[in-house]
Amino acid sequence: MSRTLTRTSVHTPPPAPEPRGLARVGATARLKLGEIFRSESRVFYLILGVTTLLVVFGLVMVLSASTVTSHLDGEGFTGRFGKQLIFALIGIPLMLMMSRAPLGFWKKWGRLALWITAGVQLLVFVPGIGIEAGGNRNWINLFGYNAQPSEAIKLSLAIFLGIALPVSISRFGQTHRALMPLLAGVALMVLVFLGGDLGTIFILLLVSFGAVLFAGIRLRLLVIPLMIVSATVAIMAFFSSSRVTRIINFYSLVCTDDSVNDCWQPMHGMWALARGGLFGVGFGNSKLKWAWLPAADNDYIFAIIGEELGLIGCLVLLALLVVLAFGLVRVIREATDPMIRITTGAILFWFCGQAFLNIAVVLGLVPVLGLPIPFVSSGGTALLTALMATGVVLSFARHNNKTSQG
Amino acid sequence: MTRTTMSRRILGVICVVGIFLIIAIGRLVEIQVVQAATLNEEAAGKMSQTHVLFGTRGSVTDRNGTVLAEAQMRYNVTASPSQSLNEFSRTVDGKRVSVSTAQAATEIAQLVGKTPQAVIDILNAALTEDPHSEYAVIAKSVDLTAFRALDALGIPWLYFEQAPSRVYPNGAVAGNLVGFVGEDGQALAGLELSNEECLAGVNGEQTSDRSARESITIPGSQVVTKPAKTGGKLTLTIDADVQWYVQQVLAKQVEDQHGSWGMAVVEEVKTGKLVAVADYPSIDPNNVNGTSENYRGSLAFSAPYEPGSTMKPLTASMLLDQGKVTPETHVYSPYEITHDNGANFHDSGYHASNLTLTGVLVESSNVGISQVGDLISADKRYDFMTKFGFGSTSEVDFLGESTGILRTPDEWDNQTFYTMMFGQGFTATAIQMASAYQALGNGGVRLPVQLVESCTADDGSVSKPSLPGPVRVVSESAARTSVDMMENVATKGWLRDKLAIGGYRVAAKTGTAQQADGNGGYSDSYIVSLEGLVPADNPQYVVLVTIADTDMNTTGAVAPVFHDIAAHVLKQYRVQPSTGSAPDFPLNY
Repeated sequence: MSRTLTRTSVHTPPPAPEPRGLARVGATARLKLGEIFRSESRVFYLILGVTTLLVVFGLVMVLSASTVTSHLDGEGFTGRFGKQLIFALIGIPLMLMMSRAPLGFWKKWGRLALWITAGVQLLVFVPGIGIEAGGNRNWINLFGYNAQPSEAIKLSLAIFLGIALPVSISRFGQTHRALMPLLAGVALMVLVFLGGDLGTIFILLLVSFGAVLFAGIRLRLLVIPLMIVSATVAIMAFFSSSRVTRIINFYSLVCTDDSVNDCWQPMHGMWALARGGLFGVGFGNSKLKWAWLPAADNDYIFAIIGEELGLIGCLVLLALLVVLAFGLVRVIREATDPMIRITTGAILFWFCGQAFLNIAVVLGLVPVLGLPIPFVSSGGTALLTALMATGVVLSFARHNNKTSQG
Repeated sequence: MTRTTMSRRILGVICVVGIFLIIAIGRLVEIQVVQAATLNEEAAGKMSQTHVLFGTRGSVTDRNGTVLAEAQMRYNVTASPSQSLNEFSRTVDGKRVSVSTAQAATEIAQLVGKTPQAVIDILNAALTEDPHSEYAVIAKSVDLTAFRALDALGIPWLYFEQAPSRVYPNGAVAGNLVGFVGEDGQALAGLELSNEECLAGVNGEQTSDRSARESITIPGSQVVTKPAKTGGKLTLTIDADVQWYVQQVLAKQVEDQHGSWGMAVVEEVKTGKLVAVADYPSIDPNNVNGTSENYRGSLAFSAPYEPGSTMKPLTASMLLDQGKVTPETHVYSPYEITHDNGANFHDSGYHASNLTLTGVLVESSNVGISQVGDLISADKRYDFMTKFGFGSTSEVDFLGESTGILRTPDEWDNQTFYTMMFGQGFTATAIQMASAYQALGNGGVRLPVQLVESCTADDGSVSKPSLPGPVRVVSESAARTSVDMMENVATKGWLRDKLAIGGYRVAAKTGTAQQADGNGGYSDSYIVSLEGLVPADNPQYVVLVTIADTDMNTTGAVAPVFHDIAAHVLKQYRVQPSTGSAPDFPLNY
């Protein structure tokens, strides 16, 4: 906090004679130039920079990983990359636009956004619009474009909890009743569950947990909800037979035979990483991307990164993710409003949780969940919503900066 | 929320992230560094494929490099019958259109030269046998053009296999000699088979990484595990142009004369190299089944016959060598004779009986040659005949080549003791006869008969067939005098008008031989031949023509063929025209 205080002191009239005259002149000039040209905080540029780097890194790797299968699927060599590029070209300006929004904007529209995204999620059950892919019904087709509405739910839930939790906490204090807004999250999870996507439910749980953690609710209040969640997840998992086999396979046998269906993807992912070694086989030289590794450009893109760029490339990606997490933590730490803490916390759990779970899957540490790495994996809706979430965080960073600067 | 609570919770998050990072990095190092070798070994070979690198079979060329046989990649068209039941779609003019099995079959049928029903039948037959059938051969050995057109159809259940095959760009030209190769690439006949060692390529192997779907070779991943070996090039002594001409005139005459078969040989006198060996009927190796099995090889090598009177100049040369006769030796030659040992025969026509030796040859008197032939012993004659090349295969050692039948003197009966002097009672191949005349033309020295010039291996090294040395059969003067007498046959015999070639002197001898009728006797239909040396003053080429069962039933049937071939060869090789005139020996005394 000392930094923030120091910064504030630059802009408030000094109680004692200011020895650094030049600094004062600079501050005055900045005030005169007005809002639009005001320099943003360092954390703003940190998050913006690392997000852009991740997107560019992702685009390059998607291009490399998808050319072969994209061609084999009749989409042309750059078909899948092209889609990803279009979403990045839409998403980055959208992120910058959203970063200009004041905090009040999110408080005003957050609840409506939740209703809208929930409504869109219902479309997956409308015949002719909803699409099923691999036991997962969480896709819709609108005007010839496929989209995954459950991605948007992650963001709208994070925003909603940022609005609703402070209100309920101030009304009910540190009681279980203060957790009421989480019921909205539960309702959304049921919708997503009906679509059959356990991975997204997992992320929604993380989003909720992140929100609650930074809402300041006492941890012992979370014991009962967590127990309920664990029990429910266990029951739900056992209703989906394919999940059960995956989990049983994972923990009962170490994959040694790639002809076993559920072992194919993990084993080929492992081979990709091993083939990369320390320095990788070089960009574009992946062998596993030649249709050997299913979902090479999204769920298993980390394996292709490991193959082409080696351990070094993997560490670079991990470092970028850590830097992003660091930026988000800074926004939380400097939060001037409870919503900023809660929503950013939720987004932090979303980004890091999803990225780390994905990597853990590829590394064979957890069973296959079907989660992409935010910003990096191919997937239009996922990239777009992740960039929008960053836009929200950036607007928070601006708010923090503005508030602390007075 | 107090600041300490938040700091603590942030610290908690940082700890979780930190723990994850430690585990993840540890696991990464384990997979990518520690276990990398083990995992790579586990994956080794699972994503690769092995291709056959076809060792190209060498080509066969004539003496000038004209290709007679060469390797060409063809393609077998196969299909997955079970997949063929599904319709598929393709883009035509920017629109997706659905294609039915029947339509696809029609398109395939047009390109492989079958009826659409035939294609459907192949698919159905495979499906009847196995409803999940994934393999059926639609067509074998289609050429590159057809393959490209078929591939362009974009039929997902149509597949192609490389099928190295053999083409004979000059078709039937020298097809009798070159032989042919079966569909499986195995040489089956002729020089293709006998020179397998030179021509055969050895297939190699190449491994490469491939894509999981459609087995696309990953660029840059090819490793040649066993290099393919390209076969050598076989160069023949044959001249394809002359061969073509000889086959052409022979075929025409055999057909015009309704002969049952014929053969013609052109051999270089000074080298023993065969320039043309024609057979009729003969084979087009591109269409083996178009020719009856009996005529898929070369009759000139494999079908011995009683040569008849073409033997007489050879008998004369033996007598000359032994100093028993001169061209003007008086030989009493009645129409019919019964020798002291009881042998009895007669001539084919009436003539004056007061013949010189030259007259005996011109009139082709069997009685005449028999009157002087017994001046040397049977053993001596046998010895001469062996040196002329009778009784053993030529140095060519052609596939299925015959030795002919030459019995040793102790097996000769009283009749054959005499008949062998005029070419009956033993058999010889056309090649043996040509080779014997080559000796006469070459001053009495017989050279090994040569059909293969050389084999050029893929690395450029040239190997020549190992041949025995030249053999002196008769003295130079005996040989020369025999040719002189044969020239008198050409200038004074009954075929003199047909044999004359402007500017060149010709030495020749006719032969009319009886053939077995299949019932233990002789048939009335003859094998007629004409054999000679051109130019007579300095012999360069032996020309031999033999046709069986002509309408004329005389050597008059082969004379024009002999003339045309000899004239063509002289012109083709720009042989210097003859100087001087034919020696004029008296025919009667």
